[in-house]
Amino acid sequence: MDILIINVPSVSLVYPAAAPSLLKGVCEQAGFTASVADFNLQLFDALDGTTQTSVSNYFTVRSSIGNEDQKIINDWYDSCVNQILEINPKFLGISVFTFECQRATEELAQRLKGLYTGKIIIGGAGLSTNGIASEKNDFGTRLVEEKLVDFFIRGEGEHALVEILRKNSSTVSGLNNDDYVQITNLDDIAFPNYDDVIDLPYRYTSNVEKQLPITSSRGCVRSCTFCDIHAFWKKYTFRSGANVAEEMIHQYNKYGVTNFFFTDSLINGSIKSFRELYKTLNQYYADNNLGDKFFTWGGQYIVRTPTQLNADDFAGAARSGMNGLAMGIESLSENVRDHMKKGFSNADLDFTLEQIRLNGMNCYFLIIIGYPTETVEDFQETLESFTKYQGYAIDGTIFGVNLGGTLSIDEGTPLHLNSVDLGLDFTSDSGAGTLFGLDWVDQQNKDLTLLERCRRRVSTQELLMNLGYTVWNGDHQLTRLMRSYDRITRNSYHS
Amino acid sequence: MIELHEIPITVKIHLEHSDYNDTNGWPLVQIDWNDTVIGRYEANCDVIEFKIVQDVTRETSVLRFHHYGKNYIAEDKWVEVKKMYINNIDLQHVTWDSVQHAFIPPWDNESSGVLHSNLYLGHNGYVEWQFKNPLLLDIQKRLGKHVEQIHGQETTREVLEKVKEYFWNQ
Repeated sequence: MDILIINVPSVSLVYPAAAPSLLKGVCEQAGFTASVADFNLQLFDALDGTTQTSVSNYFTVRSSIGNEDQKIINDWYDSCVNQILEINPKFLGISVFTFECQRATEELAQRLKGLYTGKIIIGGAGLSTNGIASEKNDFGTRLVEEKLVDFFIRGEGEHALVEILRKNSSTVSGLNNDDYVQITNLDDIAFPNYDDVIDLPYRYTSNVEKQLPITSSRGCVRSCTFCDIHAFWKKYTFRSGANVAEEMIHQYNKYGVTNFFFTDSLINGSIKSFRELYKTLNQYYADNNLGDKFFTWGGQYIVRTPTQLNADDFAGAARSGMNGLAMGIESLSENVRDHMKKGFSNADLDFTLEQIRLNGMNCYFLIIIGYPTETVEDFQETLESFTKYQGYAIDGTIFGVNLGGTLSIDEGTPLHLNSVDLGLDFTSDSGAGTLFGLDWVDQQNKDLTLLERCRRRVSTQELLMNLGYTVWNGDHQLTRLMRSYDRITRNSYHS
Repeated sequence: MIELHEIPITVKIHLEHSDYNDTNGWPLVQIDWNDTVIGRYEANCDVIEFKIVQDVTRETSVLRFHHYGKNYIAEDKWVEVKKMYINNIDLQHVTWDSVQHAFIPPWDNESSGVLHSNLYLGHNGYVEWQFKNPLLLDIQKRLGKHVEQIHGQETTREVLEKVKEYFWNQ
């Protein structure tokens, strides 16, 4: 075995992780043997709800843990090590999907030291702790320096991994450095190979038998002030719609899967590719006597103007099975959205919502409460607009709202980079070093204190629950918000 | 500040009806909301639109759609409810969840005049729909659109109240 690619806690169980199976396909395309093991699922599959939460917190927020749960984790580590030693691949690839995978990655590498003789490679967005766009990745660099791993790959892994396997590692950009170069032609990359994970017991949502992730683009066409995606992916790259449709049809023919979740930051960044995708799918259905919506597919979606995506586009996309659109609406105040550079008006949103309803689709709102420029009037406008849109929640057009944990300033975002010019400052003298997270106040909008932001967040949730919206993840977000507030006011947030 | 339940709700009733007749005119329609007459209309259009306001002191709200003014001279008058929208929400099957009360002449001892899920009014009478308050949440429930939350993504009143108390006591 040339390479074993694994993923580690803590990541979602709702479908197989995209990266390991994609990299398996890429390695095989280059003539190497590769296998995928989902160690994350192996750990969580056997746990009940309470233990699962406790064990997950051990990895994600590094909470302390009882002896019984520690034994579960130790046994799991032993099992992982044994499996790796038994397979004994020349290379071990660990997918560090987010910073919440760092603890498991590090502890597993420590346990492999002196036992496993192959090379360990790590990669993924979790190489950086303070946001994907951090100039330097702290985690990968440290693990290489401590000789716990041999390589980290910053940026995309498809080319770098193959070059490592070919022993051409000296030529690879982003290998043990942060100077990664983006891949421009995504259509040339192999399709993911899910053979090793397709039959595993993922927690697919209730109405879906199996679901696979798919990626049609990297980066974003917008440059929102609070977001770091465009800082990490300097260029928006995308696959042709025909190539994406070909992958979906390939996975259907191979595994019988008809439901796909797009992992992209947006599925309609390239309108040309988006149109080509739904038209290719509709043609495939017609050519093979399959009904409309034979596949279902969805993901993150940006609101476009009616001249960019018209009623025919919505009808065509719905016919091809598009549904479940997660839309970064962020605020229902146009003033706030303009400052964010979201690039759509209230009229565009009205049009989009009505088209989604008319075509029998549904969507999900992502919202940020307490943006620096948000005035009382802006906030009131958001509340009134949620009231105006209530009908869409009642008939299921809006199937959920994620209110987040108020605005957090992440490294690499325009808000972070321009914080001085924007008048953003620490809430107190506690802040040492770089401004980040929730510990900020806008000197030009002083009424928007941290407490006011927290209260607005709570009030919005209360209104939405009264209106019949389904608010997702509210308990976790509010509890975390309360803890963060407490730490900021006690000057322990940055320690 | 206006309370949520005080915000007017728009109702649209889509109709089919008999044609205009020089002798009989158009079918006549009356809308009642909680025993109050909202309006009287000639059914010479495809849609009747009106506004209502919830009375949350009542457990149930009642909407009635009357057909009236038909007599032995006006035998070909009829009106039928085809679809209903409340704040642009298509009531779908909830539209059929109704009871029709026909006005029966005193000499007819055979029929009760009560018909379930019949939206065609070929005689004088009314169709009645009942909704629990708050109206829109009742519709959401009856449409089956309430979303069950998945494990780990919950939002509960209990946590909301706890956090609310925390932040309002700061």
